[in-house]
Amino acid sequence: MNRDAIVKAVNSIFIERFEFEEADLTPEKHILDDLGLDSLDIVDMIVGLQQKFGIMLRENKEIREVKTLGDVYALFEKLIAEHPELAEKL
Amino acid sequence: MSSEPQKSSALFTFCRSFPIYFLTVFWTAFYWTAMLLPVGISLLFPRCKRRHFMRFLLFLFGWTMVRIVWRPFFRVRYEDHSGCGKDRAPGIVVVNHRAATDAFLVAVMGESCAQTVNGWPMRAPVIGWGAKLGGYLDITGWDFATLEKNATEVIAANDVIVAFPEGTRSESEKMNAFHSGIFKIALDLGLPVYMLCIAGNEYMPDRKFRFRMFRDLLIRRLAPIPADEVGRCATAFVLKKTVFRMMEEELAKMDELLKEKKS
Repeated sequence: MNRDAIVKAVNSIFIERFEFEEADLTPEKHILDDLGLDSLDIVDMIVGLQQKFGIMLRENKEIREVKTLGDVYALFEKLIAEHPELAEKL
Repeated sequence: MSSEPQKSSALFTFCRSFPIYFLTVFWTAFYWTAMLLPVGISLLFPRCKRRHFMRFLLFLFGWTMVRIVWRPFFRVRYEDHSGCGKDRAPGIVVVNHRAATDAFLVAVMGESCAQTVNGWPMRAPVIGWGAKLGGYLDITGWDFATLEKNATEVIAANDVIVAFPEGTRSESEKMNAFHSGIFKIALDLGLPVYMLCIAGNEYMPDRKFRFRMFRDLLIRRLAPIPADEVGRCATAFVLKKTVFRMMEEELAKMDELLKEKKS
């Protein structure tokens, strides 16, 4: 699965659940400072990502470290490289 | 154009602030001394009724403060654009937060409410005790489940919950970013969201509790977002964004109006 497909899948969560415009979703955007999500919204984001990618993220330490949208893309690139079956669920 | 007041000497600011604080403390002491007996009797009521009664006393305290005690210093014009009258369903009233007086100013709505407060006002003497007895919601001290459980009790008593989702005073015409907690409660409990916009009190008092100016205030209650519309929001974030945008637009109009009036 290429990066573009991962970016599209992650962005779809932000568009559907948080009603962002696609143009606002660029890798350098800080999730808290630029997009305005807070800790409760992050929980919603994680739930959305879990449903989209079919993976449990509750125990994942790296998801707690993400700061920017680019970090989220990179995390899922890594997860899909480790678990190629995730790509089939998209 | 900013409405920031001209800098004045410390002595001048003290002389301006002292009378309002003197009257505020005097009225607080007088009111709560007079209410000792009713409060004592209310302790015999079941918890739900006691809290409802305390919220009424707190509302009356706020209303008398704004409409009587502070009247020599500034006037408050209240406009109700909600179209609800007295038939409003219990829900959440979102209020912008420019100054410490906001907690009193919400009384102009004319109804009992439970406010969401940070930990420190809950620990303050007199007001904090009243807040605890009235079932005010400790937004920073409780976990989300406790907060939601207590919010459910307030709604069941047919009172509204007043929330300041900015979390802290902005002390300017701009609103701080909203936190999502109270919007998640609105979504989870299926409550309508009312909006109360307060304009004109950005320096009344400032962050150091000094009254650097006095000016008349304008408070508007906007048309609510009904519960079914709230339920259509995908997340608390979407509801938060919608409310923020509506209040921001209204506050800009209100600030302009106050400036025109002043000029």
